[in-house]
Amino acid sequence: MTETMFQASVRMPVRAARTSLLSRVLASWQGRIGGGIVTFFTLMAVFAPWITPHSPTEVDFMSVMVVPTLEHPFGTDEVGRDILSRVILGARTSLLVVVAATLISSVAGAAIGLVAGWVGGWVDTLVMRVMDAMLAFPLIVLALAIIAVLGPSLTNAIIAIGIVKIPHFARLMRGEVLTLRTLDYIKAVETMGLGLPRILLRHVLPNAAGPVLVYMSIAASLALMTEASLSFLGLGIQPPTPSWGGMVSVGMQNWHFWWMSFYPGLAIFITVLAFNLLGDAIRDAMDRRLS
Amino acid sequence: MTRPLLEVRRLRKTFAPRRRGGSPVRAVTDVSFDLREGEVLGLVGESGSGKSTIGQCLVHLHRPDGGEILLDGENLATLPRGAFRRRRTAVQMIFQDPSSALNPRMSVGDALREALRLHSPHAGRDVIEERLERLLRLIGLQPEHASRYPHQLSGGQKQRIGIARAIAVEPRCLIADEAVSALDVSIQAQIITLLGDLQQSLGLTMLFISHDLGVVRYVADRVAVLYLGRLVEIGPARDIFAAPAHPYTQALLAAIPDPARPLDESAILDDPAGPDPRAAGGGCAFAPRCPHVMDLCRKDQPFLTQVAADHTCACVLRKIHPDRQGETV
Repeated sequence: MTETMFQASVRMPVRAARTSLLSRVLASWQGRIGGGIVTFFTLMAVFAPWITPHSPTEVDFMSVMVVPTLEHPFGTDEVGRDILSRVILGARTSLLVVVAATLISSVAGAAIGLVAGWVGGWVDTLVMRVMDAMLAFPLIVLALAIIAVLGPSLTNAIIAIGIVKIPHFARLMRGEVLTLRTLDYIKAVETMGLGLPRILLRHVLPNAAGPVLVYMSIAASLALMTEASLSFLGLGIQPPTPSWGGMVSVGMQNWHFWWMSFYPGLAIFITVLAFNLLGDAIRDAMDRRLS
Repeated sequence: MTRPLLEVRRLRKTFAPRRRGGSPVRAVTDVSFDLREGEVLGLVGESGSGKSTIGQCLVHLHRPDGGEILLDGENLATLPRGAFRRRRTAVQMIFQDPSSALNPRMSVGDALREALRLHSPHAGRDVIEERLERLLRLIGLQPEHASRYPHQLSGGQKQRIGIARAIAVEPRCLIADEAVSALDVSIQAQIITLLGDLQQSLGLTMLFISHDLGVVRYVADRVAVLYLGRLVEIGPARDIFAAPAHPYTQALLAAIPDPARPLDESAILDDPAGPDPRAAGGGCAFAPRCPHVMDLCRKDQPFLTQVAADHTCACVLRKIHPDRQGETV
């Protein structure tokens, strides 16, 4: 038979078959760099109180807005606080906001999109109209409205930033589900009478996850910037707790003293970059065709 | 005679118009046929004739708008949920496109284990693994293929896995919806042989949906011909190919390329767009293209009439000239 000959010639290596997702993420340079930076910042956030060279909240009017020196490598701010120490401690709030808000929006959005796309009909129409209505507002206006109702605090900032991104994830997920529904392997497991939870968890979600994961890395960077805007308006993280976004906002008002916004801005930039690299690496690692 | 495994009675399926104001598409209209235990019934027709819709109704990917689908005399459409789910595996489908029929993130073994476990939820790990190995051998693959992912397989191998998944739940009836149309001709022959072997050894009943009459002639015991959602002729394959009764079947057979025969210049099926399923009319759906069309055809819908033993046809010509039964018109 011609096919048996063919089989012998295409016996492919199956080395990637049983490796874990983590090891496949770390196999790519994007995964190593992105993962390395995220780990570094996470450790920095966890051990922040013990590694800051100065008190991040202690006001020193003898050294206000000092240029970066050996004593203050990142300079000081408008009330003499050490910026390096504030960047280190700010990683706590900033990372917490980013991770928690992105998780809220991706999990809730993906669940909404999954249900709307799978059930279809009037449920789909109703849910997606609500999502469209939310999309019609500018992000920051919607976030402000939510905080106006809940009151300003760290927790409420996380909730507000999480909620405003839900429609994006819902739309993305719904589109993926609608495409997958037409594929024969989904029809096949339906025909076999496989239970709905298993169809969704084993067949639909893993195949819809790629774009959602990539969008999570984008949403993470947007969350960081939304947090900055909210802090700037005084509705996000309340002073004196440092957050990168808040520090950039204050620094922007004193732009002659570039170090005030440059270093927290650099921290935001590197974190966003790391999330994007990590998102790419996870997507590639989940794709069996590339592994 | 024993009761047919599957009885389809006046099956109807209409699709809502895409846009508001459009006319609905009547994909399947009052189609009735039996699937007899152990036979291969070929279902043929051009694109848009409703052959795939019928197949999908049988495995409940579509809900029919009317009619009955009786399995062992039980109407699947009216069964309560739980009873239906147990019954569902009795009819399984093999899909056309092997590349989209397998989950790209699941190894072949996992996909088949899922089906095997579904069939026997209380079986132990060893039993499942043993069955998996037997299943892979049955479809002509090796146990080591279990660890492969779909992208590591050829089209023919993927189609074998699709077949394995369908028979893993031990169905009584297989619907092969254009199961070999997407494959190379050399692979087609292998898959057809495999289906034939499985049908024999497992005692399967099969509905073989295809637009390729050459393939159907090779596999089918009986053939049903659809035109615009209506059954126009059904009978033993030998009779249909030797003496087609309906003008449409005759045209289909004339369209099979044959190097020994000059090309028929007057081919009536040449219209590349094919028939429009939305064009409603009182009479015979084939009338606009029929070379033997009469006034009567445009007025009345012809009934299925017996033309030979076990062979019926829906054409007025067959009704008017009962003495000419069996001849070619």
